[in-house]
Amino acid sequence: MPVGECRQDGNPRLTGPGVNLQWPPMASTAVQPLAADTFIVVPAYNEARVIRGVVAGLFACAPRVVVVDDGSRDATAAEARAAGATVIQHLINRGQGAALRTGMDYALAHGAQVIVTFDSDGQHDPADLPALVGPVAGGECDVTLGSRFLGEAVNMPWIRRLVLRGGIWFTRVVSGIKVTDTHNGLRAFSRRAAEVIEVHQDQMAHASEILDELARRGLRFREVAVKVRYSDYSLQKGQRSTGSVKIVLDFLFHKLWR
Amino acid sequence: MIIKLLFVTFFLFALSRAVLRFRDGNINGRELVFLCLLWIGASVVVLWPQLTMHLARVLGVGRGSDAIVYITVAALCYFIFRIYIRIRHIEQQLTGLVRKLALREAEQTPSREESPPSR
Repeated sequence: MPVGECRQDGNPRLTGPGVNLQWPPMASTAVQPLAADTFIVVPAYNEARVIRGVVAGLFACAPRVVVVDDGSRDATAAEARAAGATVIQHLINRGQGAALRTGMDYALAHGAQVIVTFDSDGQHDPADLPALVGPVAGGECDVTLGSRFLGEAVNMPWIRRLVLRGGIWFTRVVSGIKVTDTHNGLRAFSRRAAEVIEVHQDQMAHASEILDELARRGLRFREVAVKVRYSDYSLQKGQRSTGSVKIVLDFLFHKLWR
Repeated sequence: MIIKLLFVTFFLFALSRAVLRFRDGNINGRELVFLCLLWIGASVVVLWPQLTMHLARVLGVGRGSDAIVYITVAALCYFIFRIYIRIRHIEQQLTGLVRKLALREAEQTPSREESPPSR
């Protein structure tokens, strides 16, 4: 692949047994490739069926892809390695928040200037990366947050929409910041932001914690419209709406006894 | 009354376990003294419940058994909270350990990141 040009056929082909998560071809004809010091961190737990396609899709634009295998019991690590990603393996499952922090630490140690977090289940679109990374790489802000409500949420169940609305309200009341989407795994951090943001929440509450940290540390952030596509696979694999209760309790407990 | 017999038997059993744990070295002397006082105290209260009337009068609670229940519930809440804090601390230490091992292993295995995959 020539430098300075993004592969146009680089859509993730998420085809496995019973899985078809193929993103439509990238609309833009000239997607700017990301700089070599931009790292994509992909936390993954038992995603062997789709991880290869997700990594392949990322390599279309990103030179550095780091998959953190969070103690998977399937072939996630081998699949990610086969796709060319750097793989870091947690010996036992510690949760998505813990995996993210591990990936961020690795990226920082290897000279990352921008760190992107990207979900491993194929619900994000790699075509959103340039718009997400641009403001951080250009120094316009410290953090960009993907927002499916500014962008597009394909096949989102109504109950999920309701829970996420609740999350937006919760964040506004508890952390005092106004966002249009919470718990979206697609974000970009500047090196400075990645260094100062503390992630103590090993499980899913890390997303609320990151927003709280943005407010606490006075980091400049901006929301960027992104597309999130719900598939049968991602819905089956992903969070249950009832998990939001645990997230709220985990988050509040930690906030009280920090 | 049979209930007194059952309770006292159980408390004595718990006491014997505490002594055994002390002999194993799983608990220290201070913990043994605490557990001995707890189980002996519980046995005394079960055998002579009228003693708790004094406690109830001091606390301003109607019945002795009520006073015991209130104090027990409060103590249990406190211990559960302490255990919760302790578990969270251990979980964070565990995560730190898993992270350190993962990063160390990643440095030791030759990665392909320096040369992007050829396709």
